[in-house]
Amino acid sequence: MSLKVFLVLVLVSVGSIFGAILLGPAEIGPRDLFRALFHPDEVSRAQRLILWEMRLPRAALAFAVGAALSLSGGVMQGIFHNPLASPYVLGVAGGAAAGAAAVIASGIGETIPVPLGAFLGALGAVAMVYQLGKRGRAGMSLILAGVAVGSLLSAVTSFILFVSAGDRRLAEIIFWTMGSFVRANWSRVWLLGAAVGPSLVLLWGLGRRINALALGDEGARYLGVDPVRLRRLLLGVTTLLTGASVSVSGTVGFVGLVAPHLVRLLLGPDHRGLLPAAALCGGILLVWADALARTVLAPAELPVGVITAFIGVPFFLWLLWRRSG
Amino acid sequence: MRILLERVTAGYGDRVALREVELEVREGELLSVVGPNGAGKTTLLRVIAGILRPQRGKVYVDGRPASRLSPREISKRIGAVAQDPGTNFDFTVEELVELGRLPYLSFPDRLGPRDREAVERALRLVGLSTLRKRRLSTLSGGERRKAFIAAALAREPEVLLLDEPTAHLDIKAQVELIQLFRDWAGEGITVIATAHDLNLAATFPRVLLLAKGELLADGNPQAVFTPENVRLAFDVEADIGIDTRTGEVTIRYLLPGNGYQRGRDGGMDGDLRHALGEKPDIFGAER
Repeated sequence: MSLKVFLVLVLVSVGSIFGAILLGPAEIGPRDLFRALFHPDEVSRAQRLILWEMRLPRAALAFAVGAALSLSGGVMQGIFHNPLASPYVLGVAGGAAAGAAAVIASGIGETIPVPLGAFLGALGAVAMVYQLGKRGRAGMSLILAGVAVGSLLSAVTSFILFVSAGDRRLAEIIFWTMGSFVRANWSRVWLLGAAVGPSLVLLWGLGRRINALALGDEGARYLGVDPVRLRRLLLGVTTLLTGASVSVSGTVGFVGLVAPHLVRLLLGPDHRGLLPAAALCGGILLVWADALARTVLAPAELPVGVITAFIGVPFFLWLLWRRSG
Repeated sequence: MRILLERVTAGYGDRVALREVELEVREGELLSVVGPNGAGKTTLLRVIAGILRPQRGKVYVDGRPASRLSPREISKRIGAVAQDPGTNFDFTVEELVELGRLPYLSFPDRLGPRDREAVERALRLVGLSTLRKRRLSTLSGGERRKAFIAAALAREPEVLLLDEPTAHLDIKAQVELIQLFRDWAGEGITVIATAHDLNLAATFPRVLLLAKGELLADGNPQAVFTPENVRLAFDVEADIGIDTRTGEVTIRYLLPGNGYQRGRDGGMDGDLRHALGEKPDIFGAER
């Protein structure tokens, strides 16, 4: 991979996170941030609280979700040989949300059961979409199956929350179906980080084998790669990543589609470079999408999925048009 | 590396694609495999490459049953290129050829000096060293095919299996490839290539003729390409000529209505059934 591009992405990532935490209703300038970092005694307790306990975990969570979804998207595009694949388009994120909503409605608990429910929901959606997609014509039918299953599961999510969440039902439905980082805290950041970190290392190490999948199953077999086993492992990892990110932020669409494509234009398709770079790129995109969501209609907050859809859907259509043209 | 197939029957589910094939290939041999679509050419390559286990019969590699070798072990020794190879992503030549080292690598698949050397050598063998950084989409059809062959060569195989390596290539690219195959065979690499063009296949010292999953003929081009064999396998009438200077066999297909009378019995099925002493059985297509 081009090391220079990677370094730039790392710098932009750090810059984006610290840039985004300067935005918000309470006026905090770069100088305050600098002081809070290096001379914490000179800033007020309120400012410290806003920076370290509200804005930073939120930006970090947005970054981690962007990274997780983009990794998933990049891998899905690789294994399905389909540039339109992503956790949201394939309905996997919708499955995760439905799983999480079902757990919440059942009242079993929060910290462990919700991510677990999200993972199981995502797994169910993957299985469903994969089976449905296999029946139709190659390529397109997988996407159609994903969109159909995703819509259905989003309706299921809304229904569960509508009948179970009482007064909070509209807020809950909006959170789970359109995504938001309002519930960010450090424990959610660590939870997601624990999924993203090891996955990133694993996927980077498998990058060459993911490349081999692009030769088709027979081509991969001739290289001593078992494509069925590899795909199963990769689907497991992407499902885990998607489930984990949905469980902390609801379904945020299209980041997982856009980021891997931008990186492919920049670095080429080699997954060893593509996946880590897509993770960073997705993180950056989502940090800024969240910053926009918090500020454009301030003091009201838009669901972040609205922003990502505004950016992502034209991109999706462009890919579709370019592909058929 | 010596390959021995003992009464190998192979197929996909209920469909038999290869029937009772006996074959012995010695080190450094140059073989072409011909036959109509669905004759079992690709299946034969898959069986030799170890990615399709025979339903009956045995494959031996240097006297050892191939079933005892792991797919990884086999892929180190046998390099194969699928029919019409392509990728879903626009890799560079180098990225593609590096994939050829995968059988030797393990997580996280980093290349060592030994691997880089092999990649280097493979690029040189096909003459693509200077194009290594180019993306596949910017290459000509012949160059792209060579890049895929280089990926197979990168694992320094003893046997090279190529499924229609010359398909869709212009004549110059075809001739270049054949010349390369001869060079490699001279270095002890066994090359087995399927082909649709019988004249091209006839430039190989040994030809296998498959029809409906059976090995109809095996030998030098003169022995294999007889008018009878061509009729039996392809249901086409042909004139076989021999170049008096080089001894090369040339095959000319005769078109109906151009003043020749086809055999009274005509159709392939009847002749083939007769020749093989088989009941009429449709073995089905290759894929």
